[in-house]
Amino acid sequence: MTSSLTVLDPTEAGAPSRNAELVDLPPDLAGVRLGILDNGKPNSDRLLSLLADRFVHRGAELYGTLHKPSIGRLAPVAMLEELVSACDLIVTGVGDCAGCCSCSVQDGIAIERSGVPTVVIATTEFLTTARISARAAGLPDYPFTVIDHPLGSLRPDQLAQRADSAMRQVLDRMATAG
Amino acid sequence: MTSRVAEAATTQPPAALSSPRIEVADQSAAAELFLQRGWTDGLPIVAPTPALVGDFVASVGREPAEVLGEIPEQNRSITVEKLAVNAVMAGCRPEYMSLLVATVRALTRAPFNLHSTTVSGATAPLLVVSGPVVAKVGLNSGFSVFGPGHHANATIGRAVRLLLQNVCGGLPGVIDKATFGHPGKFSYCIAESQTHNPWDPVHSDRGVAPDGSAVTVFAGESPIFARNDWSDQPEPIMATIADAMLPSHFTGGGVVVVLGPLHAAAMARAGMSKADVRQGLFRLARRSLTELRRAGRLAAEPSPDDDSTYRTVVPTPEDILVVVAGGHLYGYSAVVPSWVGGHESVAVTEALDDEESARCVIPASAPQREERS
Repeated sequence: MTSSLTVLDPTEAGAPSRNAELVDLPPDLAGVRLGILDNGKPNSDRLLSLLADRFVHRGAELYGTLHKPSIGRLAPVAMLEELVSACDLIVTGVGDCAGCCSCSVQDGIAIERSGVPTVVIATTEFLTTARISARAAGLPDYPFTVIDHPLGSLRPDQLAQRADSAMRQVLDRMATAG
Repeated sequence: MTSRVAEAATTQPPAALSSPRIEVADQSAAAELFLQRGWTDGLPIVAPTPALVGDFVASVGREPAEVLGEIPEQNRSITVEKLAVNAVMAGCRPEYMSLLVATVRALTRAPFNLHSTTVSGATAPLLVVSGPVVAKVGLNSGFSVFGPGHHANATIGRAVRLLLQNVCGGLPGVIDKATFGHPGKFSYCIAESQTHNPWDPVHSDRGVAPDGSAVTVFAGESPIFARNDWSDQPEPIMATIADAMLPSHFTGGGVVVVLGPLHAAAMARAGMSKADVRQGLFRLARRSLTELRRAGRLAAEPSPDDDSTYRTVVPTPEDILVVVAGGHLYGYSAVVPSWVGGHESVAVTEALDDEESARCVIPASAPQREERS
């Protein structure tokens, strides 16, 4: 008997997806057709609506809000195709739990792969989850829009603050794009 | 185990295994390393040597690289080899592997939603094994059925737990940020009683032939016990069980009701079928909107008909999964509420085929536990 033992690694890292390219946000929002993909978490509809108002205020045209049938699953392909064909920019979220966050990240990066830029919103506590998911989806440096956790129990004034914070981050990204 | 491990260190490992190999000094060094890397549930593990893992792969007659199921949300797949590594770590016998293969098939079928139920961490997949395979692998369906003391229940459930952590993204505290988790996340595997079940097995309600064997997976919270020792009549017993169903989340999806043998017998004596039991529980397990609001469980504004509008814990009677198990000395049943995602994860039943059932037979030389009744 030798003095060492060989053991096997029990983990599975997952097959890395081929790398995706991050699509630049438009330099300004005038005339930009905006699509919203709501994952259905409590208060995500309110937050996304407040954020859409802020986009529209800056000249974007709201195409509409599509609601995922399941919070904790990937969006149906047809839903993504509709948004991609009708919109210049798509905002999705809100990832405020492990299951929904990783699904929204996958949805967002699938849209990026179709050539349309996205804003994926996650809460502070799920940024790690979001990053792991982005790596699995082939876009490890995806620039998430991050709002403070939690979301579900927020009052309207707090939601407005979160929407303002998200909008500032989007404008910063636009300013540094290209 | 010791002799097999010693052998593992000296025999040539099977070439087909592709997992990265790590050299350690001995069993306890392996256990420490795995603990440090977050690869365990916190308890010591059996070192997954290539020889042991090779035995486990061979026990199902499949290639190590064969994909048993996929998790599209994570770009991950579950191979025979990774299942075997985690089953060895959990302390399983190789004869449990075919049951675990069927379990992985069930877990990775879309309706179960393995990704979200795993990473949310609020629940554990409850395994309900039914049919002749229960006796073949020595699963306990009797006294203390949710509790410790039985090798097959303990290690099969643990193998699933380790698999969820190591292959399915459910790393506690990192991805799985559950508020509480629950004790069933260590191991959550029960068997249906063949001795005390007055009806056909649970899998026969779910598309598998009554004489077959199957595993049913259900994203379950911890069990809630329903005690009714004073009555031998179905109505009061069903009222007690229905009351224990009310902590459910009312978000669609299902609920598991494990009828204790005395409760099942009372219903069968009264001539009730299992469908009657489901119907009875469905009729009783409901709350008015007023009651839900009083309990702080409704966010919406009150409406005039709240007193007369009722919500049932599940959408239809068929969403109540009735299983018979547990000890037969006291009047207890158990309710396992589902994941809060409700309809986003439903129970999935997967049959073992004839070959898989045959592979579950433990050689006579191995000590077996039988259901005592």
